[in-house]
Amino acid sequence: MTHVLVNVRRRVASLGVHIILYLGGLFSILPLLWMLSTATKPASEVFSFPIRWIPETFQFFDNLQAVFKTVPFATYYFNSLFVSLAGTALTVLFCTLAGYSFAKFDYPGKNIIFVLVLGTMMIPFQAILIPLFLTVLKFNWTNSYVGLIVPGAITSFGIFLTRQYLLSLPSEFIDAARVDGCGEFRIFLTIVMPLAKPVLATLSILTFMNNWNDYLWPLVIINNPRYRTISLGLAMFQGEYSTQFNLLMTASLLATIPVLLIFFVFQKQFVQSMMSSGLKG
Amino acid sequence: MPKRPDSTPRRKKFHLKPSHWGIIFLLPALAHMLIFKFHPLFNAFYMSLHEWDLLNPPTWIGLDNYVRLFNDARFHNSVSVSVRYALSTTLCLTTLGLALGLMFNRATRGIAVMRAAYFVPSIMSTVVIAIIWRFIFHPSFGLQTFFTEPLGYFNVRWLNNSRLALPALVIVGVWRHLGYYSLIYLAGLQAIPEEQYEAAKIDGARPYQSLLYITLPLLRPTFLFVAIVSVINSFQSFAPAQLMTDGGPAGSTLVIPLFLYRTAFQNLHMGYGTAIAVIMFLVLMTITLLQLKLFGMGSGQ
Repeated sequence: MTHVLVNVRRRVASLGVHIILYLGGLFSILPLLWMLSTATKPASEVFSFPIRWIPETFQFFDNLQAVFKTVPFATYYFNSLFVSLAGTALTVLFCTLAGYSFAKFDYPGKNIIFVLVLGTMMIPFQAILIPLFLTVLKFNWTNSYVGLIVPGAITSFGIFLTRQYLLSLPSEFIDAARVDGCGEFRIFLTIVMPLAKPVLATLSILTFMNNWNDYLWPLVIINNPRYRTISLGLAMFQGEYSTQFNLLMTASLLATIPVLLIFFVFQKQFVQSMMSSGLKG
Repeated sequence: MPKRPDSTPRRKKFHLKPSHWGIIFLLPALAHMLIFKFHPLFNAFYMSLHEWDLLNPPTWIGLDNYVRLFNDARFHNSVSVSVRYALSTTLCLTTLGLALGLMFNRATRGIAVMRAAYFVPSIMSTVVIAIIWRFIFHPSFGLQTFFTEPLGYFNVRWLNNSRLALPALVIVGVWRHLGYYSLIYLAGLQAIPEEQYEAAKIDGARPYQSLLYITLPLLRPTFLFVAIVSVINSFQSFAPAQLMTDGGPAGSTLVIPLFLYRTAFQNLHMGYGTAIAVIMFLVLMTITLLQLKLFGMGSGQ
């Protein structure tokens, strides 16, 4: 008898937990649904009462056209894609090189340098924003792709991540290749990189997302519209057309699609990589 | 690493030892770190002792920037705003995140879907988030009317009211990060060995007693980790304050990063701006070192 009672109570508790979780989950994606819904509305329905989730006239494609007509959105999109991809490629290559160096080589001063690398992880970006801007100004890199890509191209987090992973890999493959007379750089490209694939995937996903979403740095160094990234373009768009919410939401949706796609394809890795990053903004 | 005997035949013309290659592989990262991390960091301290508007050459003014900063009412306001923002956000995230993590731990169905739903906000661009929420907070046509009007509040001007603007930003911050922190809690919960609970059960402990005397004490490190990381991140939140309220109304949301940005890049007071940055650096560094002291390197993994 008590058995049944305990079971019933447990079921009710479990049901309650699930209901709360689902409601919370709904609340969590409600702003996204709101964006989606607004993006499909004509202006007249954006300012209508009561709230209509599904518009009477579906106007997404007109909104899309309007967005591309009012702002050089294609340029922004291309810039963001290019900067994010190039940045990710550089990050993956150079972080793995450094991580490999820390994990599998011995030379004087290695440990001190590694501690310094870890130390830079603690420097908040905003603390060095102004002097970094001045450095880039001195290099004549403002309003350029180089300026957008290079300053963030090697992260101590990436070095740390790849080093930890490579430490756990056996050195036999590397030694064997060395005995066979394989050059060191070739060993890196043909043996180390393929072996490190899982961690490289994690690093790429995280880096791409951070680059794609970056706002403060482009805001500081770019004022030529030609080099605006999507975040920057969106911010400027909202400054000029602050009440055209259906267009703003359409543009926001476009800006979110790449990250969403990656998220849904690599969900498990994504969640893990963000958890491991700890200090993500 | 065993050194290769010199008699081994090599194909390469350059005779470099593996350790040399190790240094070569490290060089790009090292150079990058020196140019884009250490140099700016030292330069920040140096520049904060100057007055510089980018047009004329910088002039040395010693500690004047800091003296002015400590007497600057706008800076006091920014510190107060940032502290209130960071603490409220962190308070909500540590408690709600814990509750959510506990529930995730109990859930049996649809975990993957829910995890995705809670996690999605934290992968979105802060600019997009700011744009969406600016419309959500629209007094008459925003989504917020959906929740406030049934309660009898009409035309709530969240972003134009100096008492509501900061809470609005806190709501956005909590919404954005809640899924992320609850998953950290979940990881902490799953690291607690099952035997502890079984032993307690045999001893006749009720579920709430297990929660109170096993779960919560063992989650203390996770709790502290979430709290510290959340404080550090909240202090650096920039885009929502800039794009949703532009620091207003009446400076009520003028967080330190926005104050820094305006000082340096709109009013071109580079030296004064860096002084703000240095203070921010020292505060955040202290918090980070506290974290390291409490957890050791590489915690939270």
